[in-house]
Amino acid sequence: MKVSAQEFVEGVNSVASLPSIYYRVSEVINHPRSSAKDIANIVAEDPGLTARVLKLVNSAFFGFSNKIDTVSQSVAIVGTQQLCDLCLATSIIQAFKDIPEDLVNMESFWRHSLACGVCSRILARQHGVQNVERFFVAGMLHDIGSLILYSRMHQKEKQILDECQKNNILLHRMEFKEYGFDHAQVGEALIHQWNLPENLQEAVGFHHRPKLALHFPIEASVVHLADIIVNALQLGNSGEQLVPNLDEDGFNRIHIPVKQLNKIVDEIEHQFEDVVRVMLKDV
Amino acid sequence: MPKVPVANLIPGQVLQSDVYDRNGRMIIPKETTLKDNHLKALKTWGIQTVTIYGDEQEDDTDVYDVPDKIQNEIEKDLAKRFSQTDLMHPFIQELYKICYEHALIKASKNRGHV
Repeated sequence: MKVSAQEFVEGVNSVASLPSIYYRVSEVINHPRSSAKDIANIVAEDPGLTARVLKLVNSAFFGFSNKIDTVSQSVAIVGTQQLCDLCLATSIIQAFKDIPEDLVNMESFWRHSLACGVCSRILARQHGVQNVERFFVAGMLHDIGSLILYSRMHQKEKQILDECQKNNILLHRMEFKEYGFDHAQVGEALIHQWNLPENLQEAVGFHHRPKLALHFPIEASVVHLADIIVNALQLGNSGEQLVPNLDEDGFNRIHIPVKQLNKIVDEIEHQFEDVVRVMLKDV
Repeated sequence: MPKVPVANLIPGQVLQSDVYDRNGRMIIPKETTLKDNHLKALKTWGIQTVTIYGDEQEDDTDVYDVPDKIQNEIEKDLAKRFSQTDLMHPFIQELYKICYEHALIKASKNRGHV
């Protein structure tokens, strides 16, 4: 009898847990009487987190002309919810350790995830969204379900990857055939377990089938398109060797004029290496 | 009308299309004869490629000076990678074109043209 993605994730114990600092930041940010200084003080408890957030805020990611020296300043300029999302983004990589690297190269995996994050953010901005940092996080998280599968279903995943390579099959389709769920759904279940917002759950859970996203169709569609773009450009790799199939409904929801694609790709390339440098070096 | 990587530009070449920054603002108009300061600015703004007037070519891809054998390998690889997605969709077609150009640029750089 096949288990659901939810049951599968509940059955694996601590492949990954978010650093507690993120939950403390989230708590203080959501407290109605917190000031920028309160938030900065919590972030300051983790010097690594502080350094990464500041580097990110000063990188091509934002393209600010003046240097931003403190977390309080970052909060004032970027916004509290956005800063929370940036803290989440920088914490995610810390959450995964000891993933066997014979099935996936972890640097390549995170490069793909970061590329998807950068692209999702750019697409969201084009679409007119306000909190674009949420989309950066969604893009970064989209394939974490794969890490759980590589870690806990090692033998089976090896077979699946080999089969996909040999017969030109998309990974999520093969997974669905073998497990009854795919890495997107595993990722969604993990994010749910982490108590992260519902829009992140849907963005990740439906990134291959955005037309099924009922509550947050924009998030799912943006990540869907971003994944296709960065896979085509081969910016890192998370296991998928092919360009995923395009969901027509997902594409139509985002109204990206085809003529804009060149500029979007240029922008991804402009930001990408800077973001990789901040997030992957000195981790 | 080739699209040339900024790194390969030479002063004296003439823009065939306007150049935009990442906010959609036009920064250098078409018909501008590129000088050193333009090239420096393009690099600073992170622009990857521009369209310049060039010799009329039968095949646009000749401007990258990549041998047929390599071009065939690139086409074969792209055909495989795009085999599970809808190549009839204009978005995918545009994405394919961009990937093709990127592969040609990379291949011509590897041959020592910088």
